[in-house]
Amino acid sequence: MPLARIGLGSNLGNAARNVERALLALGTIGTVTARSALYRSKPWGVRNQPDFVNAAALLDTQLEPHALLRALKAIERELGRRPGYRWGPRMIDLDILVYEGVEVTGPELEIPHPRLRERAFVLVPLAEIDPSFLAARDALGARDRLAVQRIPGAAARSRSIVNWDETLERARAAAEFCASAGLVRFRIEEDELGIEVRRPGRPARAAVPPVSEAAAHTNGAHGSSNGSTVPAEKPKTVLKAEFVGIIRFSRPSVAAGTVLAEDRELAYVESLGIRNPVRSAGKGRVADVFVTDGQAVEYGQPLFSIET
Amino acid sequence: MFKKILIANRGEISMRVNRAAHELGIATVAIFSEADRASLHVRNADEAFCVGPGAVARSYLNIPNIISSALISGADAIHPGYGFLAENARFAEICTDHGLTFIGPKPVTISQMGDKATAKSIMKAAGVPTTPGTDILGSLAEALEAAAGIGYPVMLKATAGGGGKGMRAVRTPEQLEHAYATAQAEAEANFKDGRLYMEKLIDRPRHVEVQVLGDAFGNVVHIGERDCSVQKPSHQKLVEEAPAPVLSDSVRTQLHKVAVTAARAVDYQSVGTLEFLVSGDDVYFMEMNTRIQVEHPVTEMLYRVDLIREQILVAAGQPLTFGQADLVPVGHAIECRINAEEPAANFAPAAGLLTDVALPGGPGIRVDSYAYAGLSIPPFYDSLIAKIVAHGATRDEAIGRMSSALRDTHIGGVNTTIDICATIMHDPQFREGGVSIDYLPGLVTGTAATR
Repeated sequence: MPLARIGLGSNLGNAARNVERALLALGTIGTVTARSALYRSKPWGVRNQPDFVNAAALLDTQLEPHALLRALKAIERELGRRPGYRWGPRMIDLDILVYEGVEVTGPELEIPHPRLRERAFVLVPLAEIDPSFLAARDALGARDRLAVQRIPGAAARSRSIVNWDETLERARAAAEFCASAGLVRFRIEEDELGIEVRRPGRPARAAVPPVSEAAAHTNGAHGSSNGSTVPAEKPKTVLKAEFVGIIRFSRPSVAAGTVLAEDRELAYVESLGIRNPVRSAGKGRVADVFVTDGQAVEYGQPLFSIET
Repeated sequence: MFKKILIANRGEISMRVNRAAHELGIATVAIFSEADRASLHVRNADEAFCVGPGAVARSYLNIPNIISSALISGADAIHPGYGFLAENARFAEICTDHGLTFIGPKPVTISQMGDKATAKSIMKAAGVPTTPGTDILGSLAEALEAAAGIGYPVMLKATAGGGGKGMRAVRTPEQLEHAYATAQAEAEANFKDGRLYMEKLIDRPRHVEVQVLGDAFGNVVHIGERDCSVQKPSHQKLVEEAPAPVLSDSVRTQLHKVAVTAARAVDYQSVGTLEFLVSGDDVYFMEMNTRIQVEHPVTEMLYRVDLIREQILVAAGQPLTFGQADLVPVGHAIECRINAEEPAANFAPAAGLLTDVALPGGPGIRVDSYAYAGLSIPPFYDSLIAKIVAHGATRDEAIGRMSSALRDTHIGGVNTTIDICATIMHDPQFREGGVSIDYLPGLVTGTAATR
């Protein structure tokens, strides 16, 4: 099957998670044979814009370039759907960088990607998984290079994935085992693949525990790959919208990392002229901010997560 | 013309409205409950808002969240579909208060026709024949006295009712005592209005209804009748057809004329349906539904019109695009409702994952559905998953096409009404035509149903 190089980027919401989800979704349109770590890049000369998270992947696919483009757009829509917008702000950007043996020139699609060699945030992740771009990466100016930083937590996560369905199935089985045995953390390691499942430290509830998959090449040095030092995840409470409306952040507005000394109003959802407050339940720390001030929210939409 | 319509419904009717709106160049906003996140109606609209959890009262009846979704998205009109808020006059008023056009009749018409007793007295005054019966009953004693006057059997009905809820057939005074309490409780639970009235139970009647359409300029047309006599024991319809078979021309003409008279009497400005019981040559007005009905495709096939499109145009203040003389029925059309339910267990609703979905096609076949393999049918809503409509030059041809279509239909994962519909299509009594509303209950219990 032809091999395509896909670039991924996000700077809205939980950008790292968006990129991870998109990587997962790529598995539905082909086989991801390799993926880079996550990289954080600072937008140059632009203030008040969140950092980008970027990655690259090698995709073995039967889709011809235009069909692949459509499939990528479908994934962008699927992951980026926000209430009120069918074509809303894109939470995730997927680009065909290179498509093996094919050149395309047209208004919709250009392959190879025309600005591929100017963009550090594309070249750096790509060079990690495709050595033929190492030279191009090294030709970048130091300033450009340094603007793209590997995200430490995601170090050495590049891997070769043969079969996503099977991998996920095994992760699910591990999660179930973990829950039934009352374990907090469970790890399987094999030649090519490591699967680790973690649950919040509190006693299990009926819900399926979160599955966090950390797979590594055996030859990839990985700080936590011997397993015993991974800290238990702090329990998080996700605050969700009860009303359809516009979310307005209360002042001072919170961001990821804000410490909440006491119970306070984080925002309110304005619905039919009524302010419906969103309050943190007691002390804690804001872990995620899933929305932007002034956006439309729907019922049940995650707004903030709080670590307590 | 509207720029954007919010569709305050789910499933197949939400998709049906979505299609009509797109054909008119109008953008759409869907709403959905958490249980319907994967529903096709959510994907097909231009925008979509989750308005609440699965339970109907907190989502599809959640007026504040629905109105807020419309305002946020910049919609200028709301189409209610059928069921849910479609015949809620207060909701229609709230729409108007927020500058949104409610795509339906005027709120006053909805409340007049929604109150079955009021509807009946209006129709009576307009010269429409009605079933002998009572006003709202004050007590069981009053009910017993009224029943004695009308003569058993009688039918207890909820004044706010619909869909067979709060309805009880009563044949003796002893039955009435029990039925009065249960019908009242059912009406209270379903409509928050426990008021009942009583009607004479017409012996083995047929259910024949007339489609009407009116605009703001006083134009009213009828678009023929539908025979919906094949009903479950709960009085919910299963098979509908048009025109009504073996009906005398004089009765047919009378129905059409009476329906137009009735619609004019309430200055009707939308699509609506007048339901009648027909027994021999006698015609009795039952109720008027001030919404689009589930079975509207039968009429659309027969008359080659798009009723939802007309409903939208009329709501936007446009005159009807056709007159009575333009409306000429061709051939015969039949609809079968494919529900996720168990016919052998009194049509108990089924919920669950649809593992396989194959829907029919071919000449004269229309399918309105939101089903796809992998969809989970939530337990909260009505069980309709597909409407199959067959059109043919003759009734026999339509029945033949329906039989093939049902044979081509495969739905795995839940029990459905496919088989019972196929049985009906092959049943000599149904093929003869003109069955009464007692037909299907008789068929499923295996007793000989008589016309």
